[in-house]
Amino acid sequence: MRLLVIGCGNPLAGDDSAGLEILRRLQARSDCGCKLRAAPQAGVGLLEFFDQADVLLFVDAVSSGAPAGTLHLLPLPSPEVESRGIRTLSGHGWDLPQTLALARALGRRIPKLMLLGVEMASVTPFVPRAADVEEAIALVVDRFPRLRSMLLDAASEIWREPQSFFAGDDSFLKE
Amino acid sequence: MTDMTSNSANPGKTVKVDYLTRVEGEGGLHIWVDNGEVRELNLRIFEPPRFFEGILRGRHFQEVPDITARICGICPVAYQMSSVHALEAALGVKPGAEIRLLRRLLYCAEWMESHALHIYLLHAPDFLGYESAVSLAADFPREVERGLRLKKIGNALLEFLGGRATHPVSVCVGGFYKAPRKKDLVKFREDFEWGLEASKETLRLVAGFNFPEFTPAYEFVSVSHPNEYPMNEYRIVSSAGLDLEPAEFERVFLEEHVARSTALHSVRADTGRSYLVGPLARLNLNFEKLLPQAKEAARASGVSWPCRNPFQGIVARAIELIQVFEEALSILDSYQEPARSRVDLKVRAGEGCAATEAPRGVLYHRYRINDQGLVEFAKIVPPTAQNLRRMEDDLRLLVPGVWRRSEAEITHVCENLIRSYDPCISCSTHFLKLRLDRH
Repeated sequence: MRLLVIGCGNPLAGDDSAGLEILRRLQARSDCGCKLRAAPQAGVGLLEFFDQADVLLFVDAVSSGAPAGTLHLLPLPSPEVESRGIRTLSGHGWDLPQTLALARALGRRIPKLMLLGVEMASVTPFVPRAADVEEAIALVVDRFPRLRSMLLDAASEIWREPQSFFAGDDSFLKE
Repeated sequence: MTDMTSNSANPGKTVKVDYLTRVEGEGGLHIWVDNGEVRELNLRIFEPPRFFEGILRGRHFQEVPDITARICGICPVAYQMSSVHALEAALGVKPGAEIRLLRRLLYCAEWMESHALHIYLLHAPDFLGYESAVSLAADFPREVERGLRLKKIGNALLEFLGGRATHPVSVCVGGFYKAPRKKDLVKFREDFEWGLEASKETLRLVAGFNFPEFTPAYEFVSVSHPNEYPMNEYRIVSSAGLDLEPAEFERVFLEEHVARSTALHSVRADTGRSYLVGPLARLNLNFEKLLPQAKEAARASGVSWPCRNPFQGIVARAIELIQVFEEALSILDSYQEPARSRVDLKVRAGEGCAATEAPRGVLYHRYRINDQGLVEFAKIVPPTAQNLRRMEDDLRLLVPGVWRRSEAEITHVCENLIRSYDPCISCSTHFLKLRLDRH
């Protein structure tokens, strides 16, 4: 089973850089054990990733109203994930449901998909990430080997339903 | 979604369409037609203003390409090219021929992915009777796969030259942070050759579409170069006889704030009239500068040039696909690795502007920097913003001819018209809920 981690976000926009920062730190590890790609913007180009792995993990900043630094694990597609302003409008910023529908229409293979969301505080340009977001990033990087194992295990509990871990909750993927 | 209501106070008809699909961004359109006459037409943009011009103030000029690239995920190169050319004008530098060629190749990559996306995923469904590319793909998988592969080649080339497929990181004022090796560039030959033939197939497909008869009297505006199909240089020309230095842009073209929209609308400063930028304008004004295979294919397409039908913008894009694949092959053959990937820069206070051809048309930038290289002023005029007034004018002309049709047909033809502009609403910031009041 192959895992591809796709870090999403804007490196210039405060907490929206969380996904890319996690990716950067994973790249620095020698025991990552998977492919890593930066994809600042999701779109129909995601189709090209579908052939590269059996499991895709998207890592991105999210906004759900939860406290900053909360970590969310959501199997995709999920009705809980609404792309900003996209819905039926966008061809340029095709959202994930549209991309999946296109893949099915074309008979393309679709891997298992998971979103790891880092709850943001602010996306103000050129502002450092919030302290809680930094802690969440560090926790993800520290616990990544366990996350990788769970992602590659189709029977793992993380595939059954969405889970959230508030900032400071050490139980995130703890063995 | 389409609603139809009637208002006893106003005996005309109101047709409301909430969303225009297959454009980028959020906006709304309200048209009130009374006995075939358009009484009110409002193209409203809901996207919050992005304040990029304000964000750039106080930033170092070398940050500008990275920041402006994030105005758009589909046309980041356009923003980078207009910004570096304007800043190089402010600094009084001019990169050499190899860097110039690399920049054209980078722009080719962006036109490839943008035009392929628009043709196959956004606009072709309109002409083939499908509500979306997804439903189109179920019946025409070979064609959609062709479009996706064309886009993929553009993205791969962007990533190779720019360091990343979206928001390239290798572009800098003065050149590139890193120039590619020739031995790596030539690996694209097979893709370019495939893309050239696939583009010709694309033109054969779209040139055969059934286009509404609609030929307004446009003033076409584009960048123009003495010898080449325009991309990064040089002057700005129009079908009404304009021939300008970029420094004259703001004197000739006026941006007006419209209360109903967060985007500015552009008109000719002297006449107050709208104008058109984009592939149709580019092709009409620069047809003779197409490369040989693109020109031959354009002549054989069955469309007469110059063309004034905006619905045939999809044909212009297909011709430009041939053009950029043909040019990419030419550059691949002639490319020589530069001794240095960028020129030395001496920081000084200055002001500079430039206009380059984004996939959607003329993109104008102006910057003023201080003696520490910090941006004091920035002005960015995107092509979609320039076309917004022209879109409204076209709708005013189009709707009286179709108002007696069903609301679904009116909606479809209005949406089709707007999609023919390939608007990038997030760039203009300022897409589309369509509400048509028909009385």
